[in-house]
Amino acid sequence: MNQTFHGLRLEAVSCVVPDYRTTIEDYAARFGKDIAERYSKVVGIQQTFNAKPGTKVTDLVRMAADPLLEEHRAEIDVLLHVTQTPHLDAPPESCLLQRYLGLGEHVIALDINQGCAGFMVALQTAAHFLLHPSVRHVLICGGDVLSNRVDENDHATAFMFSDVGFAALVGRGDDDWAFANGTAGSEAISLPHDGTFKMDGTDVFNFTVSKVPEQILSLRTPEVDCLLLHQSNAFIMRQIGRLCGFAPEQVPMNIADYGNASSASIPLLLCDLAQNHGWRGKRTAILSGYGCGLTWVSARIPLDFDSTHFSFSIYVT
Amino acid sequence: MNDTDILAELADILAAPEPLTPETPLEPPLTWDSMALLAYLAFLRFRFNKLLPGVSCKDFRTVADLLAHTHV
Repeated sequence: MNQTFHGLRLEAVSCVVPDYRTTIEDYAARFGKDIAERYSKVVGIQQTFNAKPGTKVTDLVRMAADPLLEEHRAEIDVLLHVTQTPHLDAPPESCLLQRYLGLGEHVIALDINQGCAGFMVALQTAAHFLLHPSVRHVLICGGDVLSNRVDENDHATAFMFSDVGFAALVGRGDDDWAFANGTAGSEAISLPHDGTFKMDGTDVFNFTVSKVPEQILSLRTPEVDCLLLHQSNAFIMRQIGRLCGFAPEQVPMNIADYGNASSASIPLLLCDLAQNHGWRGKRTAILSGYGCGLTWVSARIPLDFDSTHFSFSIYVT
Repeated sequence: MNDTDILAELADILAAPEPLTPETPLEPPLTWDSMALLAYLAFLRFRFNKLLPGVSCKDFRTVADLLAHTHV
């Protein structure tokens, strides 16, 4: 489905990253230098950042969201919490975050469990909520603590995830956001209850080089000047960019520095580009998230790196 | 693309120290793992516009098995 929403604005995005690093050298020590070299070349990850044991997603979210709420706490009418690793099956973490973040009791609080596409699903959901005039701001927050949910003996997935928290504030403005979404009822990527992350690489690859580019191309217009992808795998991202006709410099990556941050991946890329790579001024971007489900959601969004507040911080574990 | 060109591409994917023949088994010194499979799938996608669903490394025993999908 393709939908366009009018009068929106991405006001602020914030991310927090723990300071505990796992490096490709650690991976090489475990699986051997040859596998590490190939992994580094194909997947592209040089290091990941991992939360200390016992850290909850809500802990990460509180750190990420607090700076955004100083001015807008009373104007949040919807809270969308994106995670696939809540610390409880019930209650929903969004309900807990209403209290943790000091939001009003009138807030509509929802958990969104969509993995790596989660931020984009939430962005589209926020746009829907903002169709109603009573909604002033939507706070999207979330993240995942996945580094302790991998099979440490599986070289394909053991060194993949960073545990990152994020928050994003969406409100009213002058921008048009165009979305396209899809989902395909697949268990090719799964996180079994109390189990470890599993992925069928073949099915995921075929999905990412067929459905995802097709969707991105459906949104591409002449003014689009960059493609901001979920940071899944450098090899796959290069193929998607190539299939969609983007030059490599139009498809920025930070997977080398942060690995795959799951639902926080796109917010983290935005904050990293703004804070650490000097992105300024206006851009028209296609943002694309894809992952378990299989679900894929993309959006053509004007970004203003001068007026949107992007914040990135590393916290001491 | 003829078989010689395809074998050259496969040699790169498999990090082959010597030229490949169809009979070459997919075992050391060749590198045939999930990452090589990914590169092979990309090769099929971009050179032959072909998707190969539901396969894993163990479905391929020799270079001939890889070549087979470039001809179907």
